[in-house]
Formats: sequence, C-alpha cells, structure tokens
Amino acid sequence: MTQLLPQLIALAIGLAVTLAVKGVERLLKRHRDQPPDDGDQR
Amino acid sequence: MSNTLGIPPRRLDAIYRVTSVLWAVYAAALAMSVYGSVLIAYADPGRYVVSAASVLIGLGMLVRLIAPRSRWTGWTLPLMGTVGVTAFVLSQFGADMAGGFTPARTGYGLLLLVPALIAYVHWIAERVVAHR
Repeated sequence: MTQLLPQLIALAIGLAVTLAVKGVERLLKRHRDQPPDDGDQR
Repeated sequence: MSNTLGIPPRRLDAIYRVTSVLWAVYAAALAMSVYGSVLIAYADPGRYVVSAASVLIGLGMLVRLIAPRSRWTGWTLPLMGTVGVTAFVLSQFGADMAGGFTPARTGYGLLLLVPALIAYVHWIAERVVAHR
C-alpha cells in the first residue's frame, strides 16, 4: 500500500529548507547593499 | 556581466558552462537513482514527481549553457535543493520502512543530501556575490 503522509512530509521539509535558504539570501543581500557606516570611514 | 569577484566575463562564461554541465549530469543521476531506488520504491507517486522534477532541472541546465544564466539559475538550483532534500527524507522514511537504519541506508541518503546543500550554496553565492 502506498503511504502518502511520509511523502507529503518529505516534500514539505524540502520546500521549508528552500524557503529558509531564500530568507538567508535576502538577509545577505540587505547586508551587502547597506551603505557603509560613517564610523568605518577614515 | 558585472560581478564583485573581478572575474573576466569570458572566464565567468566558462564557469557557467562547466557548472551547467555538471548540474545536468547530477540531475540525470538523481532522476535515475530516485526512480530505481529500492529504499524509495514505496513512495508512489512521490518518486515519479521527484524524478520528473530532476529531468526538468537537467533540461533547464542544458538551456543554461546558452541562455541568460542568472535567470536559469534562479529556478533550477533552488528546485535542485528542494528535490535533493525531499529525496533524502524519502530515503530515510524508506530505510525505516525497510526494517531500520543501517550505515549503507543512511549513507545513501547523505549522498543525496550533500549535492542539495551544494546547490543551495551555489545558488546563494551566485545571487549575492557574483551579480550586482
């Protein structure tokens, strides 16, 4: 018999990890595009 | 195409071509492996979905050889990661259903998982570092 629940759980975990990585990308891009802090300029 | 690494455009082009071929080969390998794996054999229709998505990624990677690259990275690599993690979890459920975890069954799952993590790193690195 085919069990559907483990397959749905596997797909949900895969999508969740990808969305989490997408969030990390947004954080990194925001960090990259931030103007340099005045205190850092010499 | 400008990038923050100072890589000359022609060399960046070559890197794109090589990575496209490598990911296409891996996508084909993943499709065949998931389709035929004894551990994932219980997962109907999941294994067909995962295999079909892998074939789609492989075709996308072949187009990435010649097409505007960043656009084709944008959906192929996240899908590669999703498919890899899904295959890993399916294989571990399969190991449990097949009678329990063994080093070979866990190792097979990790062999599926590691390229998925590399796909995520490649995706984010290309988005954040290589392109402005």
